[in-house]
Amino acid sequence: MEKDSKNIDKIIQENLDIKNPSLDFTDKVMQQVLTSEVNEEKALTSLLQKHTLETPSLDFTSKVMLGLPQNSSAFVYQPVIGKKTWYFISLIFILLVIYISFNLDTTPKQSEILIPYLIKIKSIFSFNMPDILTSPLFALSMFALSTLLLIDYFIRNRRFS
Amino acid sequence: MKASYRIMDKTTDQIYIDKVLQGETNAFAYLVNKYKNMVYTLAKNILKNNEDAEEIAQDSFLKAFQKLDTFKGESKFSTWLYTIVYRNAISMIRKNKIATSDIDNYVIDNYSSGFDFPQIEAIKNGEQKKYVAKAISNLPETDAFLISLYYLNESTVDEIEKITGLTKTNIKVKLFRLRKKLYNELSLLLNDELKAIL
Repeated sequence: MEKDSKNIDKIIQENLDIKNPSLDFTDKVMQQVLTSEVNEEKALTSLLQKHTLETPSLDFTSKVMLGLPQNSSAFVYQPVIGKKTWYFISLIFILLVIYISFNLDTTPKQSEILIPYLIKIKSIFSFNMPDILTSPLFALSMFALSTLLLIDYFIRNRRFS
Repeated sequence: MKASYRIMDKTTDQIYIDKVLQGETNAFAYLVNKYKNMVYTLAKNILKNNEDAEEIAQDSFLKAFQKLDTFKGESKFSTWLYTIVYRNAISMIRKNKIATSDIDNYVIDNYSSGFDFPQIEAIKNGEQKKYVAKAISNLPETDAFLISLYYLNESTVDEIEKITGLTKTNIKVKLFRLRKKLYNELSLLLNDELKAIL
C-alpha cells in the first residue's frame, strides 16, 4: 500500500513540469507595479495639494510689514542747517549779547542817534494788513491748524519709529 | 518646463531681495505675500495650533528680513526661509516643552493615528479637506513638516536635507513610511482622486 503511494507520487512528480511564462513576464509585472506606484503618488500629491495648504489671517502681510524695522540707510535725513553754521550763529549771538550788556549804560545822546535808523527800519516793515488777518477768528483758526499739523507730524513719526 | 519656471522664480525673488537690500523695505511685501501660506502651513504642521503658527510665521519673516544680507543665493530663497521656519518652530516646541520625545530620532511606527472620522462620510459630505487635514495633523511634528515640503512645495530631498538637517537616507526612509501610512489612512479618498486623475 505504502509502496503504491510512493509510486503514484513519483509518477506525479515526473509528469509535473514547471510552466514558463512569457519572457517579458517580470518586466510586465514590474511595469504594472511602477505604474500603480506612480498613480498612487500622483493621487496623494493632488489630494494633499488640494487640501492641506493653510492660509494665515487676512492682515498677515500688513502685520509683518509693520513689524519690520525701517532700513536706516533709506531714512537718513540731512539737517537743512549744518552744525558749523549753528556754531557760527551761536557765536554771533553770544558776541551780540556781550556787546549789548557792556553798553547798557549808554548815554541818552547815543540812543538818540539810533532813533532815525529805527524809524527807517520800522517804516520798511510797516504795511496795512487786511482786517480779516487781524481778526481773533483768523488767529484761532491758524492756531488750530498748526496744532493739528503738529499732532499729525508726531503721530506719523511714532508710527515709523 | 518646471525647471525653467523654478529658475525664473528664483530670479524674480532675487530682484526683490536686492531691492530690499538697497533700502526699499516695501519690496519685502512681495516675498511675504508669495510665501506666507507655505510658511504658515509649515509652522502649523509642527505646532498644531493657529495662534502659535501665526506668531512663528511672522517671526520667521522678521528674522528673514533682518538676516537677508546673509542670504547668498546659493539655494532658493524658499529653502532658506523654510530653514528659519523649521528652526523657529522647533525651538518654540522645545521652549514650551510640548515635545515629549526626541524629534530628530522619531520612529514613525510608534504613534497611533487615532482616526475616528469615517472616510466614506467625508466623501459623501465633501469634507475631504477636513479629513486630509486631520490625517496630517495626526502625524508627528517633523513628519507633517516633511510631507508638506515634499508634496506641497515639491522640495527635493537635497532641499529638505538643507532645511531640516536630517540625512538624505533618513529623509527617504521617513518619506517612504509616511507615504505608506497616508495611503492606508486616506485609501478611500485616494481611490476617488485616482479615478478623477485617470
